[in-house]
Amino acid sequence: MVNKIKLMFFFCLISVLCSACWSSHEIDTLGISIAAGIDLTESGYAVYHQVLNPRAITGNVETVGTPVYLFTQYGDNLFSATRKIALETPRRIYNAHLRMIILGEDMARNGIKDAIDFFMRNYEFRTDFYFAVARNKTAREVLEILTPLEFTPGLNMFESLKLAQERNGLTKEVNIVELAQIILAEGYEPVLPGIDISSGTADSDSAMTTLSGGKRLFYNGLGVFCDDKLIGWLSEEETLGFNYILGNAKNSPEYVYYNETDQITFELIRLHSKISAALKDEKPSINVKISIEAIIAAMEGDLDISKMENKIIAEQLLESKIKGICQNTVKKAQHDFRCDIFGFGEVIHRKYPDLWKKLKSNWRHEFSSLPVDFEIAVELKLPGQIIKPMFRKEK
Amino acid sequence: MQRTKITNHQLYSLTANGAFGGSVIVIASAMAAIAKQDAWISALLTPVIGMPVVWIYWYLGSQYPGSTFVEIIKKIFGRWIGTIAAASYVFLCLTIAYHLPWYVGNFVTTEAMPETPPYVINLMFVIAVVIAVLYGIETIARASELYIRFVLILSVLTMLLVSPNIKFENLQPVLENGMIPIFKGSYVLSCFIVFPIITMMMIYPANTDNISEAKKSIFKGFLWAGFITFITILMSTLILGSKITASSQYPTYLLAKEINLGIIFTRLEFIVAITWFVTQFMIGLLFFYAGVTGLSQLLGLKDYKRIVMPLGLITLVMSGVVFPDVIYQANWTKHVWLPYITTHGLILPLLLFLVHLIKKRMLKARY
Repeated sequence: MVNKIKLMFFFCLISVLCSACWSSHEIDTLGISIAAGIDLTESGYAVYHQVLNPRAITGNVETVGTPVYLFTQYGDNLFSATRKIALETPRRIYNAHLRMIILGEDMARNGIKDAIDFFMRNYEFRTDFYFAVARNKTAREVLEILTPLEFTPGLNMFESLKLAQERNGLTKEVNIVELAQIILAEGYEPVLPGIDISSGTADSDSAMTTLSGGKRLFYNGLGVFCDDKLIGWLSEEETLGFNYILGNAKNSPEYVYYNETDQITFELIRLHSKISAALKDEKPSINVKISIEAIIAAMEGDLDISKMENKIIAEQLLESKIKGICQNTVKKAQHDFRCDIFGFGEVIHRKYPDLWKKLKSNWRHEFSSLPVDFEIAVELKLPGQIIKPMFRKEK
Repeated sequence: MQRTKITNHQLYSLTANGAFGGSVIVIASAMAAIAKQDAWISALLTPVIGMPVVWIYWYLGSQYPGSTFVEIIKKIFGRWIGTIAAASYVFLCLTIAYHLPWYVGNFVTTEAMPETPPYVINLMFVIAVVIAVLYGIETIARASELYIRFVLILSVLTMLLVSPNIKFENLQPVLENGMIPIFKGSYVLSCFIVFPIITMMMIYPANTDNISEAKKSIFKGFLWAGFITFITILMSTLILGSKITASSQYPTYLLAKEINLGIIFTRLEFIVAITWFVTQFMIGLLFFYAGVTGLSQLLGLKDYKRIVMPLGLITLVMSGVVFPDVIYQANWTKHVWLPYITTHGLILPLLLFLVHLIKKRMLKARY
């Protein structure tokens, strides 16, 4: 009997101690943040959190309020700014579901290392969110836009970035582990996607008045960082070149002009790039081999692609076009930015570590005079449903 | 004292748990700091270098079957020096026994529950250890057989799930800084994998039937631990890169955060944490058991179970105060742990081995 009492007491003790009472947070005391933003202000930082409104995203038809609320606070450093949000909200900000972090352009130009340290140190942040830089805007303006189709703007930005990676080569997703690795590596500089707001005719709230009214978010170009400071933007074509060189462009469209009237549009369904380093008289050089499988997506004009010689001509045109784009991108990176955004330095580091030790202290300068060769091989596959152009007159 | 016998398979799983426990979550960080991207070569080298050391352990046990390490020391060194050496060994075991709850408490309060006072988590740990030791070595051995399956499945599963994120470039350039950092890293790793097997010396000669079969079990256990450590370090370097691994406190936990297959296999990092808790429990248990039985033999007690409760309470209290903070612990590991365990794990057995050989020679020369 005494043993039974002891056992009961023991069970009660264990159940009290094991229920993690100290650190348990009920879910309705959490403000789940799905997008965060940082801006630079005169006295420090402004931190924004886009917090879900649980009433608005339930399954019911009646929605109360907007799907997310934006909370803003200012502080000298990131952590105190985040904690100050408790002054205006009854829920603690819960970061484990974070999808996007938007950095204002001023903040990006000033340096992002401290922000990254903050996001890696805190245990609540995971590693699966993406970064973006607000192009010519503050992070606040980007985070205040409501989006169609996807109720929560943070999720919209996240899914759109992931989708863009697979539909065109005009942007690049970057998560925190990758970003930290690239900043730490001496021969590699990071790029981050830029997010922009298209000017609408009406306010976002009344976006339902016309189908295309209201401001929308869209990704625009890649921002080039040197060390950890933003120094410039790549244009659309240069972004394409960047993604071709790094092999990131999946299913991206590309077109060539056969002559003044005929245009062929390809879809590059498979793109593999291999970057290798070689030594030419004690100086390093880079060789980029890109192998592409393309299909024809659209054709304007009368070109008969079923003929063998036309197919070869089309392939050659595409090869030279892609080569031109890549060369322009490398030239811009070498001369205008002087920033090794492709990781050529790291390729040299891996292959010639002794040579790299001498080069790495002056890599920005060395990179500007690095010879880069391209070898592009295009294989044209299916011409779509139509082989000969339908409306072509027999010549 | 009763000597319950444990089977060879149980000996294998005890050795494997004892060798593996200290390292899985934190060792990748120390290794990446020393050997950078060649840490995996160190992890391959360590079992090779550790084999002779483990052989010395087995040999000492095989010469005195049926006695524990404390008795072996006393028989080889004589009464006075033997008692001092054995007391030093017992002190080591008990000292490490109260670091283990601290590690577990620190991990939980850093990663999951920051407001919980660590004493509560240490209490859970110490209660489990005390109950296990009161049950005896047979129960501990049976539990270790279960744990080894569990740890193997979860470790391999975690590494498989995270393998889509591998980037082989993180391993290059290979041997960038030469072989010296690799040897340094190998030495550090052996302080975590090889030398803690010295606690097994309290268990294995006394409780096993067949000494020559025991050799195979001990080596198998040691190699198993080396293998799992190798894939942990390899995966950390392949996926996170050596710089991030070197600067994070729990690199394997960060690695598990990267698991992102489809919709289902995400947010699985606590599986790695559970594996780690289990292995920490086993190694804490082994050190505590070695300390308790050693102390009871030194004091000439008939039954070690009498002193388990007081030692358990001491462990609980000490585990709260042993390290004031993580920085102190990191410095302690770097400056104190390496020489401390080397003395008891390498130098002490070597001395025992040499003195034993000399004694045997002298005995032979007499006839």
